[in-house]
Amino acid sequence: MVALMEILLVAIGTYFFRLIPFYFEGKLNIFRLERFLPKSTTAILSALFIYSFFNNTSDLSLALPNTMALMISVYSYLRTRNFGVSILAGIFIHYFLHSQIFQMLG
Amino acid sequence: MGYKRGLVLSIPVVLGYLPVSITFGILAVSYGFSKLEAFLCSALIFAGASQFALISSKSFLEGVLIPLFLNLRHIIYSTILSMKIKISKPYISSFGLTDEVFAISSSLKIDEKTLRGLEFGAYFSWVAGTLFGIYFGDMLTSTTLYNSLIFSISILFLLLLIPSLKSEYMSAIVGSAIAIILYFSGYAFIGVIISGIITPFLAEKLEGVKWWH
Repeated sequence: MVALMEILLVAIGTYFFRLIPFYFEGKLNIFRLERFLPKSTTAILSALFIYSFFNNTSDLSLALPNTMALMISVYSYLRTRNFGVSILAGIFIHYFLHSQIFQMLG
Repeated sequence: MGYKRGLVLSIPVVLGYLPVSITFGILAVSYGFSKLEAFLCSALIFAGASQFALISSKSFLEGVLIPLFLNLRHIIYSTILSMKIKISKPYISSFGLTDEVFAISSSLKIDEKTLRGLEFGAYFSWVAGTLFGIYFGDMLTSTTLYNSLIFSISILFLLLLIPSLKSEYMSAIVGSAIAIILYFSGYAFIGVIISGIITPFLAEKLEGVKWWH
C-alpha cells in the first residue's frame, strides 16, 4: 500500500510538471528555473551515484571490478552516446569480472 | 510529418530503453515491489532515473521527494516545447515527455502528431521492457548476474551525469562532497535531498571564485 502511494504521488507530480507549462505558455519565467534546476539535478544524480556505489561496494574486493565496470560503461557511452548499450556493456564487464576473474582469484 | 514519422524517430530511443526497462522490471520485483507495483511504476511515471531512485529508497519520504526533485526538470522541457510546437491536447501530449523524447523533439522540426508517435514508441518499449523484466527476470537472476544488475543502477546514475558535467562540474563536485559527508555521517538518503537544495546556491558562489588568483 505504501509503495502504491509512493508511485501514485510521484506519477501525479511528474505528470503535472510536464503538463502545467503548456497552460502557462510564454508566461513562466524560466530564466531562474533554467539556472537552478540543472544544478539541482546534477547534484542529486551525483549524490545518488555516490550512495549506490558505496552501497554496492561493501568491501574493498568489490572496488576494483566495480570501478572497471564503470570505466568501461563511460568509455562506451562517450563512443556511442547510447545509454542502453553502455549499461549493457557495464553489466557484462561487471558479471565477467566477478564470475570469471575475481572468483577464480578467490 | 505525422504519427508514423514519430514512430520511426523513436527507434533509437527504443533500443536504448529496452535493456534499462528490463533491468528496472527485474530490480523492482527483487526489491520487494509486487509485479503490479513495478508495472504501474513504469506505466504511470515513465521516467527512468526517478523510478530507480524510488525503488531503492529507504523511506516513504525519500521514495516520493527524491523522484519528484529529479523530475522537476520536466518543467523546463515542457516550457521549451510549448514555445516550439503548437500543442492542442497537452493533457495527452505532455505525458510522454522524457529526456530522450525532449532531446529529439527539440532538435528537429516536428508537429504534435509526430511528437505523439515518438512518445508512443518510447513508452511502449519502456512498459514492454518492464513487463519482460517482471515476468522473465527469474531466468536472468543467477546470483552473480543479479549483483551485476543491481550495480547497473550506479552505472545509470553516472551515465546520466556525463552530459551535464561540462557545464555543471561544480554542482557535481559540491553535490558529491555533501553526499559523501552525509553518507559517512549516517545520514545517507536525506543527503540526496539536501544536496539538491543547497548545491545550486553553493555552486553559483564557487563558480564566481577565481581559484587561480
